[in-house]
Amino acid sequence: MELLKLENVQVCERAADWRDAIRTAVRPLERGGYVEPRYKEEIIANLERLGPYIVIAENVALPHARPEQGAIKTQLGVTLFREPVRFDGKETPARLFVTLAAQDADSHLDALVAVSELLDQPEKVEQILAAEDAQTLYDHFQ
Amino acid sequence: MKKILCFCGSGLGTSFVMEMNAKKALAALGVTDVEVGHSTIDDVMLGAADIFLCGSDLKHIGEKAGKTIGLDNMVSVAEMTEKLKEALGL
Repeated sequence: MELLKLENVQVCERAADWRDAIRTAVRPLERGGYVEPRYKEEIIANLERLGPYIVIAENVALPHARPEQGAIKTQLGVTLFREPVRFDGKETPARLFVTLAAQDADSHLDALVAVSELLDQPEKVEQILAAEDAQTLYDHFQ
Repeated sequence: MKKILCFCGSGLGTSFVMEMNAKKALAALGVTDVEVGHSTIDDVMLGAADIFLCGSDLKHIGEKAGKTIGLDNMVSVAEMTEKLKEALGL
C-alpha cells in the first residue's frame, strides 16, 4: 500500500484505555511529521462528542480527523494491540487501529478503498490480528 | 430518484467507504435509480436525503433527520446489501 511505511506499523501489548490507544496509534505519524501534535487530541475530542464511531467493524478502528484538525500530509499508520481496547458505550472492542491522516478531501481515498476491501475479508482480518511483529503486519497490507 | 446520504463524524473516512460499498450493493441488487453521496454529520438534516447511512453508533443522529440505516460493520458489502435491500423494500 503506497501510503503505508513499515516505520508507521507497530505491534503493542496493550493500552491503558481508548484515549491511550488513540495517542499510541497516532504516535508514528506524529513522529514522521504527517500530523501535528494536536491531531490525536482532536480525534479524542471528536469521539467524546460523537461516540466511538471510528470502530468500523469488530476488532477494527479507523482513527482520523479532518485535515484542518492537524493533518499535514496524507499517510496511513497501523497499530495492533494484543489486548482488546474497549470504548465507552460500545460492546465491540478493537485491536487493529488503522490511523489515517488526510491532507485534503481526496488524496487518501484510493488507500482507504484498499484498506476497506482488505478488511472485508474475515479470514484476512484473522491473519492480521494474529500478526506477531510489525513486519508481518506490514506485509498483510501489501 | 431516491437519495442516500452516507455520513460519519468527519466526512472523509468511513462515509466514503460506506458510499463505495452502497454503490457496490446497489449494483449487485440491480438498482439504478438511487443516488449515493457522502458528507459529514453537519449535513444530516430533514430533507437532505431519503435514506441516511451511518455506523450504528451515529444512528440516533440520522434518525432525527429521517429513515436511517446503521451498520455494525462499515467495510462489509454483505451487510450493506442486506440492509439496503430491506430499506428499499426489494
